[in-house]
Amino acid sequence: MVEYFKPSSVEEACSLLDRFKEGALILAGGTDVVLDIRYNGLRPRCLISISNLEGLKYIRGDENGIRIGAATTIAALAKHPLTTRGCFNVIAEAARCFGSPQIRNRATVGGNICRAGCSDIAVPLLALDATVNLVSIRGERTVPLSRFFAGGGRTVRAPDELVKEVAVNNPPPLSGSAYIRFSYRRSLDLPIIGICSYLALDSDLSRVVDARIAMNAVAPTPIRLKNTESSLMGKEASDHLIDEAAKIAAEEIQPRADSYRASPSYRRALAYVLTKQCLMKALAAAREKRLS
Amino acid sequence: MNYDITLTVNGRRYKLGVDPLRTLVEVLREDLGFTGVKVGCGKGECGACTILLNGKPVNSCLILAVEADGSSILTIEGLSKDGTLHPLQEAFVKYGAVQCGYCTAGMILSAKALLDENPNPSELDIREAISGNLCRCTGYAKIVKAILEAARKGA
Repeated sequence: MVEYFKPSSVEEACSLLDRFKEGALILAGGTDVVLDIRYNGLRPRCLISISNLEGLKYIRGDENGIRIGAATTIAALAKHPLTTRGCFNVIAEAARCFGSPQIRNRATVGGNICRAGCSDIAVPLLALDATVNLVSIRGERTVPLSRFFAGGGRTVRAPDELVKEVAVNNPPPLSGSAYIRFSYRRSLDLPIIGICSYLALDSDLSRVVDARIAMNAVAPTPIRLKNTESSLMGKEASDHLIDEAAKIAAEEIQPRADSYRASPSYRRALAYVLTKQCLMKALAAAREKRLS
Repeated sequence: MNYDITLTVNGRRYKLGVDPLRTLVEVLREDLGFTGVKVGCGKGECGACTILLNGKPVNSCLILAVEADGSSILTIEGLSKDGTLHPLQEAFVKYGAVQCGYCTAGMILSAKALLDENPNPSELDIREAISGNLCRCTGYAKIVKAILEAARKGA
């Protein structure tokens, strides 16, 4: 028989996780977990509901950047003043493409990254180099989101840990970001590829001083394209440089061979086109800042 | 073990005991008789089970009933007042925005949530608001027209 708990504080949630460990299932929006319960025979010993835990629902800004509580809904990310501003706007853009209005009203940022599947919200967060803060009765720790995923459906979260928040630092002034989600339908569909790029430029707006590119649906979890990124670092930004980078991106991804949505060769062709478009957009956004 | 919950559905309070693994749509239909809430795909992909939970559209097939404890729910049964149809319902009838009818309840509730938040939506706003509700009959054109008309009439 499944026990159900609705802790009223993060501390209480952590004590329950410590007590039940692997037997506990954390229930946030439930939009994925309820399906596992209904159709995949998932039977945890206990459910720990954090969907109404006010202490985990926030989007806060300070001089360093923004922090998003794990139980914040995707709908909240889609329209908050802090996630629709400057480089962070890619978070809101990804949120607006997510699932459907009904799903966005329930699904949470913490839940979406903890599923470690085709997470849409992880794409901009990876490109913005987000960190994940985990809490347990043993204490707290912070890990980069790029090291949070441990393989398809797995993360580095220990059974007694709760994801408390995701944080993103303010990018430098001469930087830009862009997000593109390619899917057959605009709602209620998984992406063929989701991509987010981030570029920081030197004071002449010519040299790339930092580059990050994240994609989903091209590997078991959302990934950073490290080879593509390093091909851009320190180089003069140009159409040629971006075209060469896009070719590396098409090589670097590891698309599934058995996907009925898109063949590996189609995904590689798409990765080339989207990387090019996305980097061009990010570059234009970074250069626009000087003008404004 | 059953968990005691309280739901306010269409303005009336219900106290009941539920198994924590039962979904809200099951409890609304089977225990409380709100069969206007439809089960389509049962996986959050069609929107037939859409209800307003504290004013917001959600898929009631993806929510455990126990999670809705203390909340206020609107189903299609709660929309008409004293036998008079809601302007959205009137407009759906007028424009023939209903064919098989299976998506209609969810569609109207998504539209209601939109109009509650934005009384003067554009056609694009409407299309976005109903993008989580699949209709396999109408092609959406009449549904969009009906919602525009209801907005104009101040629904």
